[in-house]
Amino acid sequence: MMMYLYAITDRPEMPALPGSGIGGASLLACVYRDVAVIISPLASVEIEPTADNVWRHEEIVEAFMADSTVLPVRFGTVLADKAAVQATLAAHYSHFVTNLDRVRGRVELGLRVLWDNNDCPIDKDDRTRVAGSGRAYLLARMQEERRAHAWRQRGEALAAELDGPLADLAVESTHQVLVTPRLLLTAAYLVERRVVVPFQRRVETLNGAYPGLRFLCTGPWPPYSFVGAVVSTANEREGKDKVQLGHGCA
Amino acid sequence: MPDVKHPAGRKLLCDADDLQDFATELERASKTLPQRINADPEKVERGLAQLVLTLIELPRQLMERQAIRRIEAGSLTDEEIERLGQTFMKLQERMDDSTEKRMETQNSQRIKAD
Repeated sequence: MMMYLYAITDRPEMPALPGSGIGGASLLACVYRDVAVIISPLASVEIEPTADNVWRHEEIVEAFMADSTVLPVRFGTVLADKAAVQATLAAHYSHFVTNLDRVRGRVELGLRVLWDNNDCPIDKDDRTRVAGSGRAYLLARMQEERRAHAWRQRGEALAAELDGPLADLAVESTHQVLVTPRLLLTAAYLVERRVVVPFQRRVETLNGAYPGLRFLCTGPWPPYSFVGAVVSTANEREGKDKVQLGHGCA
Repeated sequence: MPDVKHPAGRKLLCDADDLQDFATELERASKTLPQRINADPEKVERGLAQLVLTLIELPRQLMERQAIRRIEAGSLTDEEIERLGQTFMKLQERMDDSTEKRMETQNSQRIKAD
């Protein structure tokens, strides 16, 4: 029977957990030495990414995160059967142990910052329509390019002002600038658990200092953005039995 | 105020009364990422049409930027600037027309489906 994967943990004992796994089956721990994969049997390989299913996955990962260290597995990951899970765990044991050590005692915090009224030249619908002269067309394009370049530089400088003081509190961090013209900063920070409150306060300080920006800080999450390694089993060439850790849920 | 009974509400670490704005922007951001190809034949057709337009548009923009760099560097004659400008202008018009037609087709298909 196919198995749905939730997380890899360094503490195989089952915590008290209300309800069942995705699809209604009981949760199981597939143990290898001092590491376990939390799984549940599944009738169908297709898991709908509904809010209920995604939150159930998250709740189960977090139930284990409360008392142990976890590597969250990407939502929707299914292996052929329990033997495939066992084989994957054994084959990549040292990789999992290394990553568990890396994230032990740490959680992920997510940050999104919206930049409204930023006068983005890219976001406008009035792209140059210069009839006739080819020269006028290219010169207008050149002006647009320059405006866009200056705007992006302004955004990158602003994002660095925000990310710097927060990254200082983190063990690791990752960020993207201007994924869309309004989404100035998309960032994830791996922090020690005791740093969550100071981090939160620093975000509030930044929020007050930049009235033109809007902040959305979320967490604590399992370290989705910091365990992104892909681990494949022997069936990789057939395009199945692939385990992807993480996925940036925060 | 966020619903603290829902797990999502418990995850907010700062005041954010305007979550819908964030949701809208994150949805826009997700569209910039590669999507899975849907096996529905009609959707595959639409997806491929979009892919073809993107594949044409990307080199067009790159070549246009290259021309701009060469104007800035002063390595093009007036005649060359005019000729390149005319070419890019016509290409953009064709792209705009193709995109417009594709949108019209999609809208009429949607209306029929409704």
